[in-house]
Amino acid sequence: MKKVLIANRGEIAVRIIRASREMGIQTVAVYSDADRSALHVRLADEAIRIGSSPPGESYLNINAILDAAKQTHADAIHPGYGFLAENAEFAQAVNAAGILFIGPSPFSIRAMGDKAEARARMMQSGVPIVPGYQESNDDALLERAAKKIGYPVLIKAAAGGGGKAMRVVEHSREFHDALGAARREAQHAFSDDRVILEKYVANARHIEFQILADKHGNTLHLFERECSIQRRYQKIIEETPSPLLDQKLRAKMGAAAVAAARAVNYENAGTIEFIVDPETRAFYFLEMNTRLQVEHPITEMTTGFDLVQWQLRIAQDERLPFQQEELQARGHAIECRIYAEDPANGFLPATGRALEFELPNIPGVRADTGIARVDEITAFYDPLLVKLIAYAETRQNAIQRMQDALRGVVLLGITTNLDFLQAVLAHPIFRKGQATTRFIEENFAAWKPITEIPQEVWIAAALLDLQQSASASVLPTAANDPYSPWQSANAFRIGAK
Amino acid sequence: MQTLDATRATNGVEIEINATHFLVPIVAEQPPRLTFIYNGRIITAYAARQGKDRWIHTNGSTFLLEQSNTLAPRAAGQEQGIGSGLVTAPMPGQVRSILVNQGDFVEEGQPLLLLEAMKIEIRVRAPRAGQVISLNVEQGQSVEREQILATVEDSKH
Repeated sequence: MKKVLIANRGEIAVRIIRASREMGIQTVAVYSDADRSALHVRLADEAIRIGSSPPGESYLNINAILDAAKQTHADAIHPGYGFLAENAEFAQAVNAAGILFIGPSPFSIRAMGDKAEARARMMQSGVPIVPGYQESNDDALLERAAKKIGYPVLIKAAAGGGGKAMRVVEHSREFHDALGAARREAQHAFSDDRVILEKYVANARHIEFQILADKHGNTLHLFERECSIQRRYQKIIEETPSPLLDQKLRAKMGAAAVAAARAVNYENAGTIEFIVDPETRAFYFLEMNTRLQVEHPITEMTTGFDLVQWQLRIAQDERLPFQQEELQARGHAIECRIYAEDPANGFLPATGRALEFELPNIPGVRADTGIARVDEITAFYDPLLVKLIAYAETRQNAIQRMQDALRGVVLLGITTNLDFLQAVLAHPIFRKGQATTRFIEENFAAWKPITEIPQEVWIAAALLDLQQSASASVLPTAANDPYSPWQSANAFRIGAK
Repeated sequence: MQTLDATRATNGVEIEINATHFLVPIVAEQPPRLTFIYNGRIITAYAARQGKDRWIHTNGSTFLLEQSNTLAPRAAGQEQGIGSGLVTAPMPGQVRSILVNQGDFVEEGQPLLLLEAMKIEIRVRAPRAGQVISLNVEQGQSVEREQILATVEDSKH
């Protein structure tokens, strides 16, 4: 592999470019109009414009991406996560063009992409699944199945995941309406209104296992990641190891994860998501993500593996040179996702310009980002700005290190969830390692950031304005004019927002 | 709302807050960093501005202030359309669909439009019960933050 095209943007494109560069592989970045001076474009060896800003016209534009690959003679394409990463047609088109797709086969993507099919396969392979129903898409049969499963029941889109087109139904009288709503959302999000049912496990922990499988039949797991800190199905904080698992449960779930990956002849990196009932400690297959995860860095910290580089090696037919028994994890890693969003305004995505941007320089702290100072953050894409990862010997140390690191992130010009992240890390339930997927909903529904502004902040703002006015009053024309307004521009009045 | 006046002096800055006067010695000014002494402590702050916005980061937290040239509080009715019946966009995005017609009577909180931004759907709701007097945008149109989308007037007048 001499040259890889990264069919993505932002922090993951930067990540892949860096990993490739270290291996001596040339890199090609693709960009939309909004991203023309983005960090990933500047870091790559070559860059090609693939379309206008809306994702549909650029990062989801299969033809434009393939054209870019052909133009630059790229021999491989890495899809990153999101966008076309789990699009079997894309993988197929890449293969058909004689280009190496850094990921699994179109067959594996399809097999796990359809939730109904995935569940059926898991059942066949003896991997425990959430009690549910996927045998038919008929409304009446679904309603009957829901009753049989027992409420509360979860209606999910068969054609996709990521928390879209999902409805929890508490009572049979709500089923009909919820089904309609879920189908409409599924049609819009995935152009497919088929649904499946699952028993809704009220207090679940979301625990996923990292899979690495080569093209020679070796399938391994690199342990788990606990991802229960979520807001509206969007992950915010992830950690490894999971505070819930002991060696026995870890081994059982790891074996199930490997079996699940084998069931679809999986190759390359992927993740098996499970939900675990903390009361019964029963675990159930939820879905498989046939790509690299956003939160992969925490696994890299505790295992010492560079997952992106292993993806590149596996794609080039290299064998995994270790056995499952040899693998060990060490220490504790936590990731916090810093989003451009306004917690004081319903967590609506925020836009703006990164007027100042500095990351902390602390041993054991890693920051993966796709933005740089002065970048414009637009509304076209995912609002993830920075992934901050803290690695330490113990969970306690990692939490403290993360809190310190968050305080050291200087990001002026865009509203972020930094305050919110601190509040979560300080919460006793999180501290005890007992958070379920309903933790945020149950404890932060009415949370608002503190709006009291310390005196020194006012003073700093006034100093800032004085600096600006001082530079303005150095204009040569003003120097000789005692009546010029610039001469008296040394006093300012400010008020709070 | 608090007001603060600042004037350059020889060894720092003279600050006046609500009739209290004091001197803030400046240790260093290396934009974007400011280091000064306040209340016996050395304060390091990062500061940046854009238009009326003043962003400050100090002691591990980020703050946003707005510079205002008047002492009066923001006039009632100008905050996100509450009171004025103006329905404004909470952020830039695209109008995905318009759920009501001009002339319709709506309830407070009733969804009037669907906006799409950053891959999520935002329901823009009526700030009060009343009649939809105007719809100012079309489906598919791109809008800016605070752009007026519609007006709902008190139907009891």
